[in-house]
Amino acid sequence: MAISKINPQHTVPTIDDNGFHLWESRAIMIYLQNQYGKNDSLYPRDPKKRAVVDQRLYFDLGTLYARFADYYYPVIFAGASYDPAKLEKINEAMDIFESLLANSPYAAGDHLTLADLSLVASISTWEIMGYDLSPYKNIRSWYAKVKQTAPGYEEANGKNVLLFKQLVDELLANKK
Amino acid sequence: MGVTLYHYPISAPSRGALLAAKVVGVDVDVQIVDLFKKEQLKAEFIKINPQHTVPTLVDGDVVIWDSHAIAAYLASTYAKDKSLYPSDPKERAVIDQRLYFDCGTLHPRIRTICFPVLFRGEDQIYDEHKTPLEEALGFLDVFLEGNDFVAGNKLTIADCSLVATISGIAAVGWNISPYANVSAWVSRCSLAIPGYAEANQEGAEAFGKAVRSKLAPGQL
Ligand SMILES: N[C@@H](CCC(=O)N[C@@H](CS)C(=O)NCC(=O)O)C(=O)O
Ligand SMILES: N[C@@H](CCC(=O)N[C@@H](CS)C(=O)NCC(=O)O)C(=O)O
Repeated sequence: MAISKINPQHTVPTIDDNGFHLWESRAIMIYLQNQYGKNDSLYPRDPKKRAVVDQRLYFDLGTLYARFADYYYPVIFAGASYDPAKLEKINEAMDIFESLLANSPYAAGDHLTLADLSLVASISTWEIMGYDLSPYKNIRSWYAKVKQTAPGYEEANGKNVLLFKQLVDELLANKK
Repeated sequence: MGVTLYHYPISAPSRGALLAAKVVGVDVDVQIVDLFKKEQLKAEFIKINPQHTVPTLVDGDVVIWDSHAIAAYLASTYAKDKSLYPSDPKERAVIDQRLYFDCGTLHPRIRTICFPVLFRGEDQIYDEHKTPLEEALGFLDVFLEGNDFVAGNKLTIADCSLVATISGIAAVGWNISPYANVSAWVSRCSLAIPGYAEANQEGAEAFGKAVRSKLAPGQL
């Protein structure tokens, strides 16, 4: 089936839940939690706690993921060369994330939430693209913790990051 | 202690959060952070929000930023009218999708054009940036097909965010008339949102004027 039939924006991920069509990965995570979650720990009902999770999700989409995509995608998909100014914007976003983790073992407090799942998909992708995480102590220990505590991490993300890397290597090899 | 909103009127996300406060009906104490004077980089502000963006909301012991998270928080905490951000998972999901669309697609595509003009001495608009914006306007037009508002037939917080964004680029002089659903919806929002003229239109026009004054002739 053509994805544009159910999602005019034709992006993945898109879900079809018995005829209910939804896209935007973070909106999907929230929907699955609200509709099927057994308790609210991944996405607390308390508005103040929830707002922190939301803030991290928007930070991932609008800042962290966005700046990495802006640096890597033109190189991977359009044969551009790396732009150091864009790398500087990434480093700035990473500094912010590092500071958010200073007093907080997980992205939005003391336990795993949807924010961690979204952010770990970003960080693991850029790590495999060769971004150096070593200056970011808090991010490194957060990353190790999320890999261990996110249920099904390897199956849902770890393996696929490797596939992404293979795809990128093929694309870059074809350009040469 | 009341609710404080750190705000700058030319910023679309900032106006979006203020519009959300208006529709929710919560009084906020508006504190101006002048981005042209780089007031967001002052130590006091970075202590509040390390990402130093407007809007930022302070409510008692909680600090919230990102306009979309602020809108959701205000609606969840203070709205009497639950239809602004319903708790039904499906209804809410559509609103969330629209909010993420604003945050990740529409607003960044406008920012790519306008930020360099406002802050980096750019005076051109490039075709490679026009096309993605036209595409995003087209998506919004499709979302509005058969709907009065962006997430259905009722006004929600997603309208606040998106209309703040669209009214800014319209004030720059971008032609949105090819997007008939979008044009009609902007007028509808201007009537449906209390205090729209002051909370949004003035800042959108100031943004439009600032961008236009720095563009070379014939860019639009
Ligand atoms: N903000 C969206 C981004 C989705 C997105 O851009 N997906 C890309 C792949 S990473 C896509 O499907 N592109 C195909 C297209 O735009 O036609 C989300 O988080 O779901
Ligand atoms: N996704 C954020 C975007 C906020 C944002 O980028 N704000 C800009 C003004 S439009 C800002 O405060 N920039 C100042 C800075 O980054 O130093 C939101 O919706 O709040």
